[in-house]
Amino acid sequence: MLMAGCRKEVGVIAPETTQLMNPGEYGSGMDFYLLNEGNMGSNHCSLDFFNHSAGTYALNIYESVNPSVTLGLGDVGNDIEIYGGKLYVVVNGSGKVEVLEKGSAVKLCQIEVPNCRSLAFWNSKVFVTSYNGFVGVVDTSVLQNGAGSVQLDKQIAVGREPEGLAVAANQLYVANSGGYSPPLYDHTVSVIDLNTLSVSKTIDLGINLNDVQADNYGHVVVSARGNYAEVAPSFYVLDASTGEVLKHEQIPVGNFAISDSILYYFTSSYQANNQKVSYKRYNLKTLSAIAGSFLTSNLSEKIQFPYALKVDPKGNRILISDAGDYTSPGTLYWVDMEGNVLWQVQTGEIPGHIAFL
Amino acid sequence: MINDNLGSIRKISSFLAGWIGLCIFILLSGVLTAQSSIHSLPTRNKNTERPVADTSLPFNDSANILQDVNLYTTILPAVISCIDPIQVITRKYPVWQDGLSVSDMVRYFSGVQLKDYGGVGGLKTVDVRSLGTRHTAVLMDGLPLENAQNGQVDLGKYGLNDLSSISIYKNQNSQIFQPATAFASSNAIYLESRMESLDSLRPQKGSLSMGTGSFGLYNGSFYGAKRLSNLFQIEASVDAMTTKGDYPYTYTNGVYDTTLKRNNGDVKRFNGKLSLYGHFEDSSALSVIVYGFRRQMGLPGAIVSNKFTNKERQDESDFYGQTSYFKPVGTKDKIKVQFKYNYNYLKYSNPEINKLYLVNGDTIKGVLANHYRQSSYFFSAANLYQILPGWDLDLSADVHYDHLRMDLNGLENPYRWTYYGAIASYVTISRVQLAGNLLYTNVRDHQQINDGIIGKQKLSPAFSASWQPFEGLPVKFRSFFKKSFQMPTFNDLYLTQYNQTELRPENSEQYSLGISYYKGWSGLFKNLQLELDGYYNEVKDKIVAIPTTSLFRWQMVNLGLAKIKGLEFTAKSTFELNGWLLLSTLEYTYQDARDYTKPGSVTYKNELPYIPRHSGSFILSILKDRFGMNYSFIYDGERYSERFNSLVSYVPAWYTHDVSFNYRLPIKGPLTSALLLSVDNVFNQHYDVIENYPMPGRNFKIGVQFDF
Repeated sequence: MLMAGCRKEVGVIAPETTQLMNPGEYGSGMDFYLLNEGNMGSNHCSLDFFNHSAGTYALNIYESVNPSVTLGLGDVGNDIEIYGGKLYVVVNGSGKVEVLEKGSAVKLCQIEVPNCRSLAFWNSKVFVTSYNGFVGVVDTSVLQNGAGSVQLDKQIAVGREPEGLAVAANQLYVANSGGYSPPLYDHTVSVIDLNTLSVSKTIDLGINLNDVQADNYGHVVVSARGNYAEVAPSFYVLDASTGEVLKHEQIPVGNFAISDSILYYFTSSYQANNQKVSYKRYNLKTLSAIAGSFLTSNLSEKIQFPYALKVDPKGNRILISDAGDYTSPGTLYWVDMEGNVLWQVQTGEIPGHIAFL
Repeated sequence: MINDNLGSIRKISSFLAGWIGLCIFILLSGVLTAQSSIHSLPTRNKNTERPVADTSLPFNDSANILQDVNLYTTILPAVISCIDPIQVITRKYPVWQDGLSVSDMVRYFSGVQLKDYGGVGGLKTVDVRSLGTRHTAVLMDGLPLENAQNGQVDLGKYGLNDLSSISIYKNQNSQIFQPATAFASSNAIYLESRMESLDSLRPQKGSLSMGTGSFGLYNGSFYGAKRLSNLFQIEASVDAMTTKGDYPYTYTNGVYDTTLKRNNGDVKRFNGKLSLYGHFEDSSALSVIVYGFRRQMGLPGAIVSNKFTNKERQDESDFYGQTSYFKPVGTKDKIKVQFKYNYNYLKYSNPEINKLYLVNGDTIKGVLANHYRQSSYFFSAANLYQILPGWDLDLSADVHYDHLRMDLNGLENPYRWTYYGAIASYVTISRVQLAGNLLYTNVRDHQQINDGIIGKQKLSPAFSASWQPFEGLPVKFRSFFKKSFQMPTFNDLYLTQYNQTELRPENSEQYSLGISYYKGWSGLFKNLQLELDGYYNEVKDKIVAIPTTSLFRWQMVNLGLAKIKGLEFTAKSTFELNGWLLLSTLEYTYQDARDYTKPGSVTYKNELPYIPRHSGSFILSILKDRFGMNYSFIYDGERYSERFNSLVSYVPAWYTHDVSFNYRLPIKGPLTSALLLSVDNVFNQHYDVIENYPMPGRNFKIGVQFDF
C-alpha cells in the first residue's frame, strides 16, 4: 500500500502521429494500413494508418479505436486485406481474423480460425488458410457489427500448413508449405473450384511453397522457399485457368508484389543473413527479368531486413519496410519509381503487411 | 554525443583509477604488516575465516557448528569472512519454511532478478547484476548442475526439503579449494544439501512434513539422517508436490477488465536423494550422493488476445550421481577429487501441431514431440597447498563431457569436451584478504552437421581484495574484478539450421567495490549488518537470436554490448525484548543497464529488457517462544519487456506482501510438531514478472511438520 504510488498502469495507449508531408502534398496516392506482426508470444501485433491527404502516419491505432477488446489486436499479425467495406486482419497467434470497419478501424466482429495465415475473397466469401491444413470459408453476410465470434461455415481440407492463396479464373490457388515437418516439406498447390468449394486438382510444384498472387494477365505466381540449403528459393508462373506451369524462375525470391504486369521482388538471404539482397523487377507479360534495381544502392545498403513490399496502385509509389533486427521497431520507406526515398517513418515491431484503402 | 562518450570514458577511467588505487593501498598495507601477522598468528584456523560451503568436509562445516549455537542471534554472517559480496539464506531463517522451491528464496536477494514465468511450473531463472541468465552457474554441493542445452538452470525444479542453505556469490566462491569450473561463471548460486550433526546420543534425526494450499497444491516430504558407525552417516530425502495451478488472473487497460483462470498449469514434481558421508581418522572425508527427479507439467503459455488456453506439455527426468573424496596430505597439503555423472531427459510436446515423421523409411503422422537427452560426465581434481600460514595456493583441473541427443530434424547429436585449469591463491595478511585466480578454458565442440571440431581456448582472470582498516571498527572494504565468458549453448549452435561455426563466446567484465559493517551487542539491539556495493559490468558479444527469411528459423549472432551500473544495499538487524525476537532484512538494488550495441539506432542506450531500475525486499520475522511470524515485501520497479523502450513494451512495477505464521509444539522427547500457515500476495495484486505470463494472486498454504 505504501508503494502504491510507484505502480503506474499504462491504460489505453494513444496513437503516436508523425507528420510526414504537408497536407495535400502526397498527390494521388492512397491511404493505407500497415500491420506490424509483433514477436510471437509478445501480443504486440499493431496497426498503423497513413492518411494521405493529411500527410500523417499514426502508429498503433487499434487500441485507442477499440479499447474494450481484451488484450487488443493480439499476437502475430500475418495478413491484412480490405474487401468491400471491411478491413480484415489475420492474427495468427490469437487464432482470429478481426473484421473492422474499413474507414474507422472500429471492430465489427471476429472470425475464429486456429493458426490462421492468409486471406482471399471471392463474391461474398472470405477464405483464410490455416496451418491446421484447411482453407476456412465464411460468408460476409454474417460478419455484422455485434456478431461477436463467428465460426467458419466450412473447412476445405488442403495440403500441409497452407500459406498464401489467391483467386484467379474462378479458382482458388493455395500454396502448401509443410513447414512443420522439415525436411518433409509439402510441395503442392491445391486448386479449389470456387463454385463447388472443393479441391479440383493438386499441382506438384516444389518444396516449401509460400506466397500466391495473381496478375491481370491470367497468371498465378507461386513462390517457393526451398529448404534453406541446397534447394534454393524460386518462383513459378502458372496459367491461371489450366494451372499449367508456364515458367519456373530460379530466382531466390523473398517477398514480392505485383503491380499490373510488373512483379517487384527482393531476394531472400536464404543461406546466411549476410547474403546480399537485391531489389528487382520481373515482367509478367514477357516472362522475363528486368535489369536493374528498383532501389538506390544507398537504400538497399541501409535496409537490414526487407519485409513488407507493396506498390501503390494509384500513386506509382513503392512501399518497402525494414524489419531491422525484429526485436525493435522497423522502418517504412515510401519510394518513387526512380528509387528516391520521399519519406521514411518508424513503425511498430516487424512491419509486415500493407492494405490500401 | 562525443562529449557524452568522453564523459562515460572518464567515468570509467576514474572508477578504474579508484579501484586500482584501493588495490595498491591494500597491497602496500598488507606487505607492511605481513611480517608481524604471520608470526603472531601462526595457528589461525582457516575454517572460521573462509566462507562455508565445503561439503566434502561434512563434520568440519562451520555453518553446522554455528547453527548448533543459538539459532538466530549468533550466526556470524558470511559477510565477515567472505572477501566478495555474498548473500546466504539457510534453513534456520524463518522464511525458509514458507517456500516450495529454491526460486522462492532467491527472490529475496539483492542484485538478483528472478525471471518468473508464473505459477509453480513456470520457468524460474535468475539474472544476477544484469549480466544475463547464462552467466550464473548453479552448483549443488560444489558441483555444477549442467544444462548444456540452453545454459540456464530452472530454480523451480529444486525443492527446499533436502537443502540446508542457498548462497549467491556475486563473484565466485572465494573458498578457493574447489573445482576449476567454479571459477568459470560470472557469478554463482550454491545449493548445499541438508546435513545433520549426529553423535552417539542423537544417532538419528528426521522430519516429515505435509501441506496443502490454493489451486490444488499438495506437498509432502520426508528427510532422515542416521549415523551408521563412528565413520559413516547416511541421509535420505523424498519430496513430492502436485498442483493444478488453475489460479485466477486479471488483465485490464482501464476499459476492459478481464478475469480468467490459468489453464494447463498443472505440475507433478517428485525428487529423492540419498547421501552417504564418511569421515575417517586421517581427517579424510568421502561423500556419495545419488539424486533423481521427475516433473510432468503443462506449459500454460503466454496469455495473448483471444488465446487463453494452451496444450503444450513438458516431461522431465533428471538423475545424477556424484562422489567427492577429500584427503589431507601432511599438514600443508589437501587433495580433493570429485566425479559426477548427470543425465537429463526432456520431452516437449504440442498436441495442437501435427507433423510428419520419417521412421525407418515410413512417413508417419503424429503430434509434435521433441526429445532431448543430455549426458554429462564431470571429473575434477583440486590441490590446496599452504605456502605459509595465511597463504594458500590452489591448483584445480576439471574435465567435462556433454552429449546431447535431440530429434528435431533427426541430425543433431552434438557433444562437447571442456577442459578447465585454474590456479588460485588466497592470502590473509592481518586485516587484508587477497584472492586471485587465472582460469584456462579449452572447449572442443564436435558437430555432426559438418563433421568438424571447433576448438576455443581462453584465459580469464579474477582478482578480489578486502580490507578492514581498523582493528576495533568492524568496517570492511571489498572489491573485485573479473573477466569471464560463456560458450554458446547447444541450443544456440544447433537449434537453427545454419551452421553456426562463427558464433563466439559471450564475454563479461565486472568491477565491484563495496563496504560492509557488522557488529553484535549484548543488549536489546543484538546486531546490525550493513552492506553497500557499487558495480560496473560490461557484456560484449551478447548472443542473441535474430530471424532469417522465415520466422520459424532464427539465427544466433554475436550482437550487442550492454553496460550496467548498479548499487546494492543490505541492512540486517536483530532486536530482542522480553523474549520477543525481531529479525529484519532490507535489500535494495539500483540498476542502470543499457544497450550500447548500435549508436544511432532506436534502441541505443535503452534499458535492457526486464531490468528494473529499482527493486528490493523487506523481511521481518517475529519470534516469541513457540510462536513465529514472517512478513515479507518484494518490490520490482517498472521495466520494459523489449529492447526498444516504449509504452507498448512497458511493464508496470509490482509488489507483494506475504505473511506466514507458525506454532511449534513439543510432543514427546525429541519429537516436536509445527503448524504452518501462510498467505502470499495478501492484497491480491495481479501482475506479470514476464509480460503475458500472469502471476498468482492471493493464495494460502497450510502445513504441518514433525521433527524427530
